[in-house]
Formats: sequence, structure tokens, C-alpha cells
Amino acid sequence: MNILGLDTAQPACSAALLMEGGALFARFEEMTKGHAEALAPMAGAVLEEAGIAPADLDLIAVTIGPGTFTGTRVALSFARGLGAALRLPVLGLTSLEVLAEPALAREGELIAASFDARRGEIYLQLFEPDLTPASAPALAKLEGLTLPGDLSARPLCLVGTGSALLAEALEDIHALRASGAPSLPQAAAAARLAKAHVARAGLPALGAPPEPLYLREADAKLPKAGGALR
Amino acid sequence: MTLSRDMIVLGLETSCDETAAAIVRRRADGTGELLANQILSQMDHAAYGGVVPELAARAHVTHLDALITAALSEAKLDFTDLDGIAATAGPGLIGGVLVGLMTAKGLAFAHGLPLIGVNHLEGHALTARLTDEAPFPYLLLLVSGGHCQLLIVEGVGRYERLGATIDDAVGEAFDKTAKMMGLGYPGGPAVEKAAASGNADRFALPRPLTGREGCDFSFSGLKTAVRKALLDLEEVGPQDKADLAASFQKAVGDILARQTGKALEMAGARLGPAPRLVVAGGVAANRYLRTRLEALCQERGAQLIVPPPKLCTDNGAMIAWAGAERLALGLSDPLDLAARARWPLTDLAAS
Repeated sequence: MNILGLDTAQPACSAALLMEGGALFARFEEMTKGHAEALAPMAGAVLEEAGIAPADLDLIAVTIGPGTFTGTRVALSFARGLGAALRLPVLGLTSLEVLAEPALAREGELIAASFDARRGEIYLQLFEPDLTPASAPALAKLEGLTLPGDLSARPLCLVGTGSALLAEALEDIHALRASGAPSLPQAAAAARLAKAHVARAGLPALGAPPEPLYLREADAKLPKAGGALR
Repeated sequence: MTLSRDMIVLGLETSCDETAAAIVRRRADGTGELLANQILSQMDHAAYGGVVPELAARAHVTHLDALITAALSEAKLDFTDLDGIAATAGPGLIGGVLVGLMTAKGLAFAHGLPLIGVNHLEGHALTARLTDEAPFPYLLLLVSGGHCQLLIVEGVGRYERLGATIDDAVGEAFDKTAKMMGLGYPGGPAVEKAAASGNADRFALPRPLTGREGCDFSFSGLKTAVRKALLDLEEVGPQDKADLAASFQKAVGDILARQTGKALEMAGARLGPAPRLVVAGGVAANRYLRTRLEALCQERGAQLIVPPPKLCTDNGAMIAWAGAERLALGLSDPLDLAARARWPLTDLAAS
């Protein structure tokens, strides 16, 4: 099975091809803008390097957020277009599970994958060392942050750009350390997670493409009386 | 290079609050045919009295691929029947533009098809060639929620601007007027409806830039005058609103007719012996304004061409058509094409 992984949810852009035999071709670049320009050429480059055509793909794995609103939609729109045109299933993965994938946690630790959401908040999701989710992805206020009861005594293994903020908020409560894994999502990790997903649950259904996971409402205030003066 | 064969192009439009996918055939002789026209007008913005960019972008990504599938099934075609994929690459609300452009890149990448990044304004500018086989050159009055300009259209990618608004777009003036009076959103149809039973001579509203050289537009003073007239009323009933809407609409009609008349003069012989005026953009759907422009054209011996309303407001067909026109000239774009929030038509020289 050939899996194309795509990510533009955070300040990085990446594409990776995980092939049937396990060969991996990947491109990754940190960037705060320019994802929409960089993504398709990166996808083209990994396929070309592997010597396969888009029609040889079996599955597309894409991050659905949380991340920047616009960035999240860049890879997701591309993936949905690609999936529709090739009649391929598209598997959506949270950017937090993709962040957690390369983190090597010790027994008893929780992987805390986070993304700086600004405004004193982070996007946070917790995982067991085998990547089983221990919490749902959530937008969390840093001030007064605590983890749910049964997780409150666990040491943490931190990954993601929210790590420093999370460490500051929780260091008096939890033993914690940096995971050493990359702090931005990697499409290669998305492809590996997708492979594991298929082994566990089979291919996702066709024609049911993933939706973005924003976790934060759009900034829009309803005007009083619809803005009417009289 | 000119490709002298029929071409079938899918076009995606996501630059504002319409999510649209359409398919056109452009025949080798330059005539066209609309094969599918799918459009979803987002209703979520009405309560806000205007388009909320982030909400629009969220709706685009959720609905666009289903509209593409529906367009293909309406045209009874498959992706492999397409010769190119066109999408609005700007100008517009960038979050939404990116959804359409990235979807188009995904489709183009999948089957190795040419990608055509279309200037949304060029889509409006060329629609009359699809609907009315309008030959070049013609004078274009582009009137929409985001734009108000007069251009000479000499060819694909060849535009000369004679005048443009120096402040608000005309559709924006309609929206703001409707909002102030609580008539609803979008403002164009709401004002037109209210104006139908109003006395257009009751309120004396200004016609900005009267007596000024050139054919630029200004609507901000008119909007302020509507606001003042509304606040000056002791009580406001439905008839007052109807009268104010009619007075506003008449002022807009006067302004558009006067400046378009001046543009016809400025263009002069460049439009040839039988000048054509094409009106495009959502405001072209307004029947009163259309009547005013009809009268102007009759007086000047010009031919008025207004595409049907559903192809005047934002749609995918105009993007597919502009894409087909560019493709026929051998023009397409690389997959690293950037979206542009601002992109004047006059920056669009066909290379």
C-alpha cells in the first residue's frame, strides 16, 4: 500500500510517501507562510523520487488540525481534491497525534502533544506511550491548568510548540521532560499512523472526507439588531 | 500558441460567500457551452450583516468537493474528460481563495491536468463571451460587492482601466444601506425590493464627483447621506424606508449612467463603429439599474449586454470559462501558484 502523507497545519509544510515495502520519501520545511505554494511541488517531488504516479497511491493521510485555521485548510483542501479525483480514501489525523507519533515515552509517562494557540491557550492532547489517546484534543487555558484526576500524577513527555508553556503551567504538579522529538508535525509520521490505522481498522470509507478540527470558534461578533440604525 | 480544439474545463469559485463548481465546453471556434453549474450560496452570514471571512472559508472546505462531484454528474462527465482545472486565485478573501485553489491543485495533480489560476475579475469580464458571444473589444462596467470599475476589454488578459471607485464598491453601498435600514442581507435585492414601492424623489441625495473629470466613482458620501437622512427622520415606517431605498437607488443609477456615458466617450473609436457595453458583477442583476443603462445605450447607439443574473453574481461558470479562454491561448499555471488577496485586472497581461 502506498500512502501519501500531507501536513500544513502548523508553521511547517511537509509531504511524505510511505511505500508498500516500507520505503519512505519525505520533504519537510519550516515556514510561517507559503504552505499553499510549497505543498503540491513537495508532493510531486516525493512521488517522482519514488518513481510512482498519483494513480499508484492507495491512501491519503492528512492533518486536520488543530493548527492555524488557514494552514489547516491548505493541506486538507489539496487532499480532498486529490482524493476526489483519484477516488481514494482520505484519512484525517489530528496534528497532535502526528506530533506525538515520533515521541518516545517511557513506561508510565504520558505524551503531552501541544501547539501554542496564543491568547494564553494551547491545543493539547495526551497519549499513552503506545499512542492510545488518553484525552480528546482540546483547547486549554494555561492559567490554572490541571489534568483530569486519573492523569494528574503521571509524569509527562512533552512534544510540540506549546511545550514550554505547558511546562511552565504544570512543572509544580508534574514531573516532566522534553521528548526530543520534532516540535512541528511531520507528514512522514502521518503516513506511519495511517498505515497503523489501516492495519487496525481497514481503509476509511470513500466519499466521506475528513473535516477540519478547529477547536476554536471563528472570530465573529453578531451586530446589535443586525446593524440597523432605525 | 492557440489550441484549436474543443476544451472542457472545470472551474472553482470560493473567493467570497459563494461555493461554486461549474464545467464549460469551449469550442475551437471560440463559442462556449455551460455543461454544469453548481452553486451553494452560504446563508450563515446574514445574521452578521456581511460576509465573515473565516466562516466563509470553513463552509467552502466542507462543501466544495461535493459540488465538484455534483457538477461532473450534471455534465455526465468524469475527471478524465476534463482538459483543465481552473480556480479563482484572487482577488478575494484569501482563506476562501486558498480552499478553491488548493482543491484545484489536488485535482490537477491527480491527473496531470493543466491548472489555471483565474483572476476573479477576469471571470466576470469574460462571461459575456460565454453567454452572448461578445466579440472583443467592449467596454466593461464591473459592479459587485467588492468592485466598481470601467474597463476596456481588448482581449484575454488585456484590460485598460478607465475609472474605478475611490472608496466603497457599489454593492457595498447597497449592503450598507440595507443594513442601516434593517432590510436584510444581501443588500442589493433587499434595497431593490423596498425601492419598488418607494418615491425616488423624496430624499435629495448627493451624486459624488459630479463635474469632475474622468469616470471614477465614489459612494461613501452617498452612504453617509443615507445614514443622515435616516437619522433625521422623526419616525421611520416602511414607506420611509421604501422612499429612502428608491432615492438611494436612483442616485446610484444617475452615477453609474453618468460615468459609464463618460467612459463610452473616453473609449470612443477604440470600441469600433458599433460599441458594446457589457455589465457584469452581482449589481448587474438589479433591474432598475439595468433599465438606466439600457436608456444610456439607446441614447449613445451602443449595444448593452448583460449576462443572466445567475452568471452575473459570483459563480463557477465564469471561472471555468475564463480558464478555458486562457487555456485556448496556451496559458496555464504551475502548481506552486500563489493566491492573491489583491490582484488588479490591469496586472494581468497575457504573456
